[in-house]
Amino acid sequence: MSTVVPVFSMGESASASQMNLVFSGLQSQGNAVLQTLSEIQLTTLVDYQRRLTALNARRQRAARVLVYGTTGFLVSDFCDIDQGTTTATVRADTASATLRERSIPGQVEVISTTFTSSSGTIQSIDANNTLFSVYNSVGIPTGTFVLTLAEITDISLLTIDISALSSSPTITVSVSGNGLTWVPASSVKLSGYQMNAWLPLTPVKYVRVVMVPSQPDNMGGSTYTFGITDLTGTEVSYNLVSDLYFNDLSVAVSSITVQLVANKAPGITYYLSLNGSGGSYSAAVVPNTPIALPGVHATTWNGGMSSSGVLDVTLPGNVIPGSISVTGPSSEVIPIVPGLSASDLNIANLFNTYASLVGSVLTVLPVPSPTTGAYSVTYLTGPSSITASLWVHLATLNSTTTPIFTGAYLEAL
Amino acid sequence: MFTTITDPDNALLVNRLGRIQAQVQALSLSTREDYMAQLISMVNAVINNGYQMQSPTLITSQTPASVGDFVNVMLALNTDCGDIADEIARLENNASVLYNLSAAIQNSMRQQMREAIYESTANQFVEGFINQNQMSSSTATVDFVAGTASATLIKETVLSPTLSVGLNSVGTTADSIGSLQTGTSINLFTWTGELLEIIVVFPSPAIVNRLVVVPDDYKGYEITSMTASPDGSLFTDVLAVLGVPSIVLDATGGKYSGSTVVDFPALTVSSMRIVLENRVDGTTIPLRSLSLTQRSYQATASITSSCQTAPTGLVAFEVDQQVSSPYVSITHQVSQDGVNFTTIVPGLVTLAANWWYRALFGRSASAFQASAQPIQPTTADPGYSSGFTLVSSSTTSISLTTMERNLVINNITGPIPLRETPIPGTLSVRQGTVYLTPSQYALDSNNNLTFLSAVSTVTVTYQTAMAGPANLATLQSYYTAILRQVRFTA
Repeated sequence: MSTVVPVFSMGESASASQMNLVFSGLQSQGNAVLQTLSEIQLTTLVDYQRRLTALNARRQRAARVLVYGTTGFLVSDFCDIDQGTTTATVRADTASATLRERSIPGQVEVISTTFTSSSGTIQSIDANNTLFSVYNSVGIPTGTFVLTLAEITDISLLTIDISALSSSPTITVSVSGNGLTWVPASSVKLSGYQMNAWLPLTPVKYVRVVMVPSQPDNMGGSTYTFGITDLTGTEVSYNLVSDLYFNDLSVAVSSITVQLVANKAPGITYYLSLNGSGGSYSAAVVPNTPIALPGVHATTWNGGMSSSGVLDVTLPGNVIPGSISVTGPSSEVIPIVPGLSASDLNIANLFNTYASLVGSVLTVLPVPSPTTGAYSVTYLTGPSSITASLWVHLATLNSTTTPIFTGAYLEAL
Repeated sequence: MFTTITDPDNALLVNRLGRIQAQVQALSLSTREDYMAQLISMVNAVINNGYQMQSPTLITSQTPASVGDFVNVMLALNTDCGDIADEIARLENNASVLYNLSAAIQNSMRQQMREAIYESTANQFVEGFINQNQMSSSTATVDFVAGTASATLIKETVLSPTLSVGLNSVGTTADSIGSLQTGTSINLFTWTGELLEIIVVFPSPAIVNRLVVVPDDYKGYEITSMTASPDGSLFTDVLAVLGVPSIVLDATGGKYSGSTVVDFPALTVSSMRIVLENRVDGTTIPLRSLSLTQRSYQATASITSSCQTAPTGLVAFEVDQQVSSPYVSITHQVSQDGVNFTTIVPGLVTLAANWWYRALFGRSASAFQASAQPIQPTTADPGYSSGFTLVSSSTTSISLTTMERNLVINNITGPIPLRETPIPGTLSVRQGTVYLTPSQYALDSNNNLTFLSAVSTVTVTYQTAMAGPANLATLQSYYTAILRQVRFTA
């Protein structure tokens, strides 16, 4: 990067060309520094963008981390959505689906941002005043941003990038045309660092975002970071009716009934197809009510055991693995150990009582004494898995508002 | 295509426009058109200059020397250098903002996955203490990283011992083990080998009750040995105290937080030995950080869940907790109204349509006072109830770390359980003035002193660590029960 410049010697005659060479050399050196800085900035931004893309990909995979006993119908990606028949608009970035949008792109320019905190000490941590660090050792501070737009714009959908907050922060968004009367967003959906706020179509000059974190930046710490890094707004109108169809998903059977856990917003109707290979949907399903799984039956057997500890129950061939439960004479639950041989030499060293399951034979080990107690075995029979498909019907009477579907899941009961 | 000059924040553009703003304000021209022309000219000059140094004014040869020839160029160079410095600061600031945003996203995503893993469903209620979504009130301290609840934390002090690689290590490293103590995870210490012995030495004996290890990845690393000593003579096997053969440094160690957090009953430690092994391929043991902390707690605390509606009926109640009986304990309770609570124990319990769970953390001061005695109290233990009578007990300080016990005991019909571990070679027993030979008595690994033939009044003398069990009372405020998980399963 350094440039060789002429060196003057004591007693040397003054020379304009020599002087010009010196200045030109310094200029070249400065330009080389600036070129390097420009490359550093470009490299940093490209690298950040590349890693952010990777992070977003992982974020969508993170949304698919299995919750015990559930099967999810997710809109955080398009993997399970039947895109051929779906007419709804899916916003995978914020894991939400709405009536089909007919948007009018709008240019929103933020000319100023102010930030206040309900408590603690505020420190701006970037030159643009978009990120703020609040130190508060007493409790959780509430951070409030007020963004002023360059001009009043009709907006019904705001997309906001924030500095990601951990766990389940509470975020409310409201807008105003005059700074005095505030209209709250009808719905806010946050996924990671991206947030959508649906508004009644209204002229907007000011946007107020109130954030209440649920945890500090570092667990056990006292610092909370608040930030708004990007904001776009559009004027959106919606189709009056749209549908969202999911592909068939495989559901592992662990109970005779399940429930559909989903938001019960007006304008959203759910239809479920179980083992129907699509198309044969049920009558409308009400969220959080039991739904019987087709072909699955529960059986309870009560009886005793042989002198070798073998329970006198005959398990059918279509018993569902993992559904067997054994209860002992004192109503104690006896853990099941598949494949534990009754002749294992270490059986005598067992501290607790177990029920070994070998084939269709249940044996209580170590063999209790006496063997006259009453035992109870419950189990399910039927298919070990079924297919499930969900149809979400979205409707509205007002083309400026939309019901918002944010995902659903089937939960074993 | 991105160009730096179009970045509205670039310091060259901002500073140069700022300077012409001052020049514009100082203009004195005749007409509006003059002002417009001058302003446009100045702004154009800035834009044309772009993300470049200003061009120096050429000094014409064969002309009289002019101060301006030199000074103007130097001034331009000076302002450009200042702008470059501002630009460097801007880029550094931007990079730090991007770094912070990335870290926030990763934290958020990690928490999202943790919450999915410890999610409650209609069939089971799980409280993993990784967030406060299911809690209504708490005086207990909830550590979201470790995923634990404890009595109220009074103070946490991160200790600064000296770390070194032990002689029993198998392998090599080119890194400094001291980098593990910075308290951040930006350093990487890589041990190339299958076994790493870390020797921890404190400048003076310190009370320690937490170890936090952040491995770089999860490839079958385990803590296979962890011993601590207050004075180099008495060693405590921490893993044995915790009742585990080893501690696996996998993702579940800190409930997927990235850290492995080991809480253990407080010990006075002057040196510690931690052995880590690679159980998978034996090639490397990479660590990001290792810290030891001292945490003091209030005597009591409670934590109560919010109202729960699932599961209900007959459910299995399980807890994952760490208690040190009789010193600290946890009482589990449920309620149907959030006001009146009934104590429950792990096993089958019945939950109403609406229910609340509460954990009460307790610490027994009397148990710590009793521990200061050199012999375990026996009145509650039928096996020892009539085994002996302690006539007198006296203590002589030998050094800062060692003391000598003199116990006079009579009516001996059974084993005498000593609380302390005598330093090897210091135990002696005499009957009157006659010393018994070692073949006449035995001390087992649990410090039970047994006489092999009938004796009358004896005087038992031994030396032991001042900071050993005899010091337990001073550790009282560093003891707490730890609640890791509560689960109700239908």
